[in-house]
Amino acid sequence: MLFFKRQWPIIIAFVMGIVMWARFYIPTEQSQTLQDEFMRWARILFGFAAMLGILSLLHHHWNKIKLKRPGYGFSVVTLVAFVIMALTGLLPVNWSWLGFAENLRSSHGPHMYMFEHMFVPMQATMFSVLAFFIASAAFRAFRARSIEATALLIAGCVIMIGRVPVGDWLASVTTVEMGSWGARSLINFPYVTDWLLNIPNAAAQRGIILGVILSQIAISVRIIFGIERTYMGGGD
Amino acid sequence: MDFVETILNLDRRIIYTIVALLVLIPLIKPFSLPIKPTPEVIGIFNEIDRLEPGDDILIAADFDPASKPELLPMLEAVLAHCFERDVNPHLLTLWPSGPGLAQQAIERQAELYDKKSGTDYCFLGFRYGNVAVILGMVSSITDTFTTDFYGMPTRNMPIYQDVSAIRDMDYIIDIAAGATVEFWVVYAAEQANVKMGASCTAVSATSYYPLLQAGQITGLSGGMKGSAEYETLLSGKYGVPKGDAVKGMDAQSAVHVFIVLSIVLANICYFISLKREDEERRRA
Repeated sequence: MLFFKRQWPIIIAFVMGIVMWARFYIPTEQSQTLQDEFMRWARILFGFAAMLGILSLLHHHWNKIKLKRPGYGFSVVTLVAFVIMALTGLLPVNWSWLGFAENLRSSHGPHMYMFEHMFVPMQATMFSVLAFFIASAAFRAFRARSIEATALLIAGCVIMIGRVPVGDWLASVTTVEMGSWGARSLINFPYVTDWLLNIPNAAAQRGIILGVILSQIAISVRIIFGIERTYMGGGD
Repeated sequence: MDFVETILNLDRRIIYTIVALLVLIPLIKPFSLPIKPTPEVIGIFNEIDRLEPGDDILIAADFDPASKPELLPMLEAVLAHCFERDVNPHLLTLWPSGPGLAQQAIERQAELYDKKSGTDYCFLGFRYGNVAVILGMVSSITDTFTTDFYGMPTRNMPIYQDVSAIRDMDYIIDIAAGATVEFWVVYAAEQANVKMGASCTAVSATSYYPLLQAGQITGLSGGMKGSAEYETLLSGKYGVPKGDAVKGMDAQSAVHVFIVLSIVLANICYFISLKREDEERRRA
């Protein structure tokens, strides 16, 4: 049994890794068919992964309720909401007696009604609260304590003004005729914002992307050759 | 307590109240600041505007309600643009909580322009699997999405008689709140050799400038500002009424100005307090 627990996943990872890598360099119809088949398998596996996630969620909250751990009331809400949303989305029940459309996928069905009138406002509220926290945190913690912090502060402020219409408005009201140079804006936040985004930001992002891709290649090679085994659990 | 100390110890509830007022007042009484479209957004607009009637565009709405104010207006504007040009949009999402908003947007726009599902547009809905779904669509859209969101078989739809895979698309746009733009660029646009544009949240827009500069995407729309620019372009050329993004820009401008001014004020007070502490230490 230890073979299926330890060696078998490594063999699968090795064979699939090598086959999919080699396939990329073989531009034939058979190779494309092979990829299509594997992608179909992958989509099925993703479905099972989603199911596993749902079971894990249910198990976690059920245990919390059973043991009456602190905050178990929230788990009750989670489970009740989960069951109602799932049932209204899956069961082929005619909900027209409640004033909803018969079709489950209709935007006037109960599932979509709850999505639109409960899920959307609640998630939007959670996200919009960030605006208040950011304003408060920026006021309290954004200090020019070092050269790096000052550079970040100045860049942040310039981009915050340069990326909203008030930046364009400021640029237009401070435009003056400067002889042979033509009309120039004295306070041009959008221009500086463009420069910041296209030069220093793009350069840094390029470095980050290269670093991430190189790391992905390294980790893929480690998984294919069985050096990296943390994906099997156990942390070894 | 003097002014400097008052500012440095300002109750956060005062800041919250000011932010709330600065959001609410411009929404109730807009001051209509002019919105100047940037070359990044024009890059998407022009590519869609260049499409001929009957051409096909793949739209990935990879976002959820948390990003609704930033990205839903862009989705609605792109769909309106497609229908104005009689271009056929193929809409899908890789996000589990994405279909609801996408459905609302396409049904609203299709009703406005009197377009038929399966003939003038197709809402494919959601499939699990990110890259696996994209790679599947590179080979065959109808095999990957055997039915559309409403359960109708895609293979028999008139819209899929001339379109079989992503290579048959004339443009791709990913409206994304996460990292799916890179997936679409690498696995769809590059492999199928189709031009692509990206719309994303303001916070992630900075990540895609290298893709824009390399020509891997023709344009980039960042956050609500990008959506507002697209609405402005669409309104300017086709007279389509401006949407929620333009309405939200005044509030965003007001809050941004407040945050910048509060940062400057807090820093001035911080340095004054440092100077005072220094003087007191020297005196002692």
